[in-house]
Amino acid sequence: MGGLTLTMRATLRLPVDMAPVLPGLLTGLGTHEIARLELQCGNRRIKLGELFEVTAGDPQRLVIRDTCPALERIGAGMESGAIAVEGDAGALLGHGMKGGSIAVAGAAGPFAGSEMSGGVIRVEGDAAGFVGAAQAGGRFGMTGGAILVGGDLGDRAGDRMRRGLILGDSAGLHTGSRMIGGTILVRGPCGALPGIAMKRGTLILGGGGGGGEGDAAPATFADNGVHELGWLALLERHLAELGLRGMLSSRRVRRLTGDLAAGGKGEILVAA
Amino acid sequence: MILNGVAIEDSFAEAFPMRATRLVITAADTRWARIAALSMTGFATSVIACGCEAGIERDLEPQETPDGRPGVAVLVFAMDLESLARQVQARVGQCVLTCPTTACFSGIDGEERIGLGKGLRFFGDGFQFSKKLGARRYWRVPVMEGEFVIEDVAGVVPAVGGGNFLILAADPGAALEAAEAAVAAMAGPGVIMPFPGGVVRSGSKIGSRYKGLVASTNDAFCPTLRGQAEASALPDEVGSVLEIVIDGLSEKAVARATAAGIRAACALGSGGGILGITAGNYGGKLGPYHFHLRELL
Repeated sequence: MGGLTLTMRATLRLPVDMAPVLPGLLTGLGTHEIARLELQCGNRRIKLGELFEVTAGDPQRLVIRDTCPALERIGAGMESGAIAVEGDAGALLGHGMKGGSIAVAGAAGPFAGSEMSGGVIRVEGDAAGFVGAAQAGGRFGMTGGAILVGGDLGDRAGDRMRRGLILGDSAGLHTGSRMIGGTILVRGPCGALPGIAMKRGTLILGGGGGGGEGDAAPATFADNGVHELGWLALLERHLAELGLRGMLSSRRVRRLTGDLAAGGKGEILVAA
Repeated sequence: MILNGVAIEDSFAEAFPMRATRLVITAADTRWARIAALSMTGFATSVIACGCEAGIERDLEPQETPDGRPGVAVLVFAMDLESLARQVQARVGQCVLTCPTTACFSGIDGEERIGLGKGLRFFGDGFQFSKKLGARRYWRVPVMEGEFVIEDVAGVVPAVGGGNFLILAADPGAALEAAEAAVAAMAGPGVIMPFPGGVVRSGSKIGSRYKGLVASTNDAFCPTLRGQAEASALPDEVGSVLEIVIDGLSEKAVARATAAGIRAACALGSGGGILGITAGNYGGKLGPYHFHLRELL
């Protein structure tokens, strides 16, 4: 049996809260019951069946087709199962997610994986910033799991992140800002002021040999020289377990520690 | 029962429950991994005075280790969780942390865990760095050489300690040859023979005529006391006895190793000076695991 499939009937402009559409919540429901579920769309509630054509299948392998960025909070709070998004996803993809996996064939809106604590999010396209970050006023960003972005991470990836892994092909401004822990790997170019105000955690830049303006860390980082770090082998193995090989071009990196304006126990590793 | 002319006594080895962990020590090459492992498992022959029993289980290929370097699997056994934790922390701290190029990982999952890097990280004096990758947490401890990587905790499993058998031989040369052949055949997953070279020449009995001494020479099996000991177990033709002690992660692992060892020792046959195989027990009062020699074979 294939996955339970929701196919969008038409592109929307008003945002739809997709948080109630989780594998765990759909298990045991028939297609008619699923079609009668109410979703918040803008300032009104509408039946899921009005937005999506429902095709029966395994709810633990949910497929959402022909999507658009109006679909927000896809997989928010998810604990198990898998969601495949065949198109773009809106804001707050996998927000507060605890387990399971989400795969997006297109791009993701802002705050993908924000405050998640487990599971894996894969985005083939770009993410629109604040990946794995804390919500406004939130104490911590992501505290576990992995967010793997094939394209650009946007600005402020990993803001206040505490644990877990974020990977992107490139990144915008202030990557790893206010970071408290965890690992961010940017394979290619990175925007200005990476790691600004970071307390702890690891930001790896230029793993794929890209190198951007961010390869020059803020002035509040101390240069500890070039070293071959053994733990990067463990990171490579962890990435391989996630199906990603060859993400680090070298275990030889320049180690910069900082942000000295915020305790200085974080590090930026720039591929050497 | 006679095996290749060697009498297998109708006796049993009596073993007792222990707690064990497996550590994976990696290094730049196998030589340095073995140096660290040998150092760490030194003075770990018997819980009677060493606090734990430890030994090298086997060498590991790079593809078998967490960091893709050559390594060695080490098994450590102790009577309880607390003493195991204490011994592991002291030994890893003094012998692995200090050894060039090494890293140390948990090599077994168990319901119970002991601290590995959890305590040793403090050597980093605040410069240590935690990395949690998936479900596993590692510590990067800055050292003069570079960084020492160690996993946060190690799994602990229930285990079996004190499996044994005794080789009764015509002379010390024959006993040693049989014991060496036995140890070589016994090596395998889940077992160690913790004594020097896997062999014990000074098997002990419980207690002593001297106050405070918990173990003393097993006079019943000392050939030079054949006529003096109250109840010598040795026939006239036995001139030397060696014992092999086995600790294993399971009853099955100890049984497999014991059987393999006895067969290898008996391969020399009576013509090679091997006269009998027996085992040490305390009448079934010491431990719940009984390895009946004849049943194993």
